[in-house]
Amino acid sequence: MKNLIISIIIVLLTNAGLLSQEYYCNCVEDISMTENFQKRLSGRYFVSRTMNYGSQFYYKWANGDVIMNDGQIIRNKYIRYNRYYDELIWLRKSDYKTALMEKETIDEFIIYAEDNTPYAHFIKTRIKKWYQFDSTDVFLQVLTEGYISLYAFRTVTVIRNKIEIYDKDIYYLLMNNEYYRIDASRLGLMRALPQNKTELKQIIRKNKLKVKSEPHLIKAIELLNKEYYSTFL
Amino acid sequence: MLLTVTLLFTSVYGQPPEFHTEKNDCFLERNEKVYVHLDKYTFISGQSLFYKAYVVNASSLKKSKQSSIIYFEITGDNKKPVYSWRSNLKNGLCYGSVIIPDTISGGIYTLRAYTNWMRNTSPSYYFNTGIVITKINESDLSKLTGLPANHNKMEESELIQAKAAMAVYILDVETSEPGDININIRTNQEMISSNPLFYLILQSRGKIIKKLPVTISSGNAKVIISKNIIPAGILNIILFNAYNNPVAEKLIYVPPENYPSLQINTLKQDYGKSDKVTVEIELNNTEITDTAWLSISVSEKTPFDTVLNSPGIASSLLFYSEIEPGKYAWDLLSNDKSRPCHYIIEDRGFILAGRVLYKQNSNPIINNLVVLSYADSIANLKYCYTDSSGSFYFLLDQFYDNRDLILQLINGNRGNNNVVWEIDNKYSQDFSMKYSTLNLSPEMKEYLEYGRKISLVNNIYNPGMKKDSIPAVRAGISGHRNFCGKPDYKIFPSDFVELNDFREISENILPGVKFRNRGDIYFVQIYDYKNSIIMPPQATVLLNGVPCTNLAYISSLGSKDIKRIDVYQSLIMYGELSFYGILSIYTYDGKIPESYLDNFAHIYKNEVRLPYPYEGNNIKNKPDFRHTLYWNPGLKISGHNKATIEFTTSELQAEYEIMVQGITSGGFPIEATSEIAVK
Repeated sequence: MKNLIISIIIVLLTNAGLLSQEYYCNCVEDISMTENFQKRLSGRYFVSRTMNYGSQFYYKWANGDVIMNDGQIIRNKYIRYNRYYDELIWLRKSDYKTALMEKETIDEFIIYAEDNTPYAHFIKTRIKKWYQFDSTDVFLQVLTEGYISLYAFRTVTVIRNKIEIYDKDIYYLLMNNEYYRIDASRLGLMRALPQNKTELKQIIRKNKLKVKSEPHLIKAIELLNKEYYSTFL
Repeated sequence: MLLTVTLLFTSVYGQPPEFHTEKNDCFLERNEKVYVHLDKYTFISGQSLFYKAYVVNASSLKKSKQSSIIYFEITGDNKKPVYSWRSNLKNGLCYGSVIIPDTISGGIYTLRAYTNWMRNTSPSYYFNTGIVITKINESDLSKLTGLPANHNKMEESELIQAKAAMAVYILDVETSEPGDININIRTNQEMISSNPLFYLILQSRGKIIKKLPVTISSGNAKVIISKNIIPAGILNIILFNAYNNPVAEKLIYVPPENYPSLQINTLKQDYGKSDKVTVEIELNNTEITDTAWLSISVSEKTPFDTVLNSPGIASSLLFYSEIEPGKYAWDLLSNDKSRPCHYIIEDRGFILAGRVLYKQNSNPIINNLVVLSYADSIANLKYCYTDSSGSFYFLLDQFYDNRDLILQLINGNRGNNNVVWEIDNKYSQDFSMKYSTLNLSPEMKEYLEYGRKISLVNNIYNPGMKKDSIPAVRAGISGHRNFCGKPDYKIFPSDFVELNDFREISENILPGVKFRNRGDIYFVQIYDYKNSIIMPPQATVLLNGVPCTNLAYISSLGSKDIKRIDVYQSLIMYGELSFYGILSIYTYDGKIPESYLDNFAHIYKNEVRLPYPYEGNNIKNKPDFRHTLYWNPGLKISGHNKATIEFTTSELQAEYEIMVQGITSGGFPIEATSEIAVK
């Protein structure tokens, strides 16, 4: 037995020496020239923890475009947003390995639905979380953009001892280049936009909106932009 | 009997012949034209050649927004470039200078300019002009070889006659009537009534502007075309029979009408030595919103000017760039002669293309990983796989300009003993060009002799060659970073006690890195702390950003040599590649061992000419023998404004030509010349 183990180790080491410095590639033959010229995605190998309940991810694995901070767009990659880590994960189709992409290099990403229509658009921005001393880069989903823009930080609440995850969405308004965290409620909206209190009341009453629901919150901001701030754009 | 048939454009008698109108058709997509304004056309080796290039859309003649790279070459009568360079285009324009190397022997050379996209067509469509070069120590010349045969000498009348004499079908074109062009078709074939339908194709600036069915009855037909639809320049008129076979072709030159014009005003014609000259340039017949991008040269007139007959921008873009002597346009139009676009448009940067072949049998090396890198303080890899012809392509932005790029074949450890690298040097490869010899007249000999003497004087006052315009590495261009992101940790060996070799370094100051050898075989293994696994012993080693398989050399590096070590302790995914840990070593000298490069890499010097300032008359306390009194490649006039330029004459008594060339925002090439004399 001992000799067998030694033999195996010798064989492994010999192979290791011969194969040292090799690159491993799962290549797609006849890569088109356009694809050849496209910037390559890079990331670190990543395996997500499994949870007893809930998912770390926002949406499923889907085709997406990644807009890098040098302006280049890398199209048609399998990506998924990890809400737990607030990171973008890339799935390499050729070997089904997943990688954590470096947040610093990404500016935006767009996830497409199965019918190739944009499902979600995330932008990287710098905000200060209440529990942190300094601001950090986070990915926010664009809900509506205008004079007042609405974004959602898709995060999760983790119950560690049960290994369970629950959805938690935090909403931010962007106005005059400043982000304001808001509660998705009528009162929260009024507090965030005291200067538009009357207008908001009118919009909510007229359109019978319940701003606790995300679509209604988006509609309220859209109508406010359209009816009161259209001349600012 | 003469029967005239005038056809309405709406008549449909059948299906007209199919022609390529798709974007990817190379002929119709002969979408760019180049014109180069030179400061002068006669050079002594060691002198500077200043140039301004205009790349325009072939159809609209507006500044091209497509290609971002332009190629220049100086070719002799042996049809091989003796000197070549490339420049970056910005919105279709670029300017710069090169020093004529003293390795070029005396003769007449062709300066050619083109884009990669234009390489899909014949070199006849490129910008071609003759230049005279003589060496400073070359005396008693009686003749110069390399005079381009006739291309630039073709007259308008010759052009009309050149392609008219087809066997049985004759196209007579009348352009004298205002408003219309009359095309008379004659044939001596009596029996064409069984299939009388013909098609007339009108093509200008690479685009079909009209397709007309024509019925020839009793040997004659007449077609009237409105001049409004025909742009200025060469109009190809081609007659096809019902079987889509071309039977007659004629080219006519449609002169420009209502064009913007340039006017040059000088206070006087004659000036003294070191006199101040003021020139006013005025743009006429333009819209107020028009902008003109201009270049101005004031250069000595030479006896070679009439021989070289270099066309101005208008005649070049409207006339010479549209014709290929001895060839019919229909050859390029017909379906079966279509060809795929082999050369890609370089709109996003320079395309480095090449092939790798086995040295033994010249077979292509297929589906092999080619890695491009350069020695720097970051690791910035690009890769691609060779295709079935062994070809590889890299798209390089301006960050890669003026760097020594290192190409490596990775899989299989193929050394250069087994591999041949064929890099596409982007030469025009014009083997059809014909040259003749120019016997020098006494004036020409005298001029060259005088020029050499002046150059000798200049060399005494300016010893050594002038600085070249190629900087080592472009500074200030940022945006590139490590392809593999941030390392898990960085180590600076100088922070620790001195260690003699890399094994000592790995054992003492690189946690999780195992660098070992068994005899001559070395390997590197990295421990992945996050996932608590030891990855396969195949970690990648980068030396100053370049993949290095010579681990024996790495083992010899100690603290004295290594400035910084970046360690990546997990599997790095980069495109389709996987790296099982990366050890990135940066040395103080920042170099890659030459022996390694000689054996396992191909170096490509990615040289680009950058704009270089014209010295002008900033010559103090030295004799001023400038042949070019003034050169300004970047003059811009908007609307009805005027531009005023000032310069000082040199001590050379001669006649000088003021030449202004340029292009307007409306797509009109404009030029004007004037003369002054220094007495």
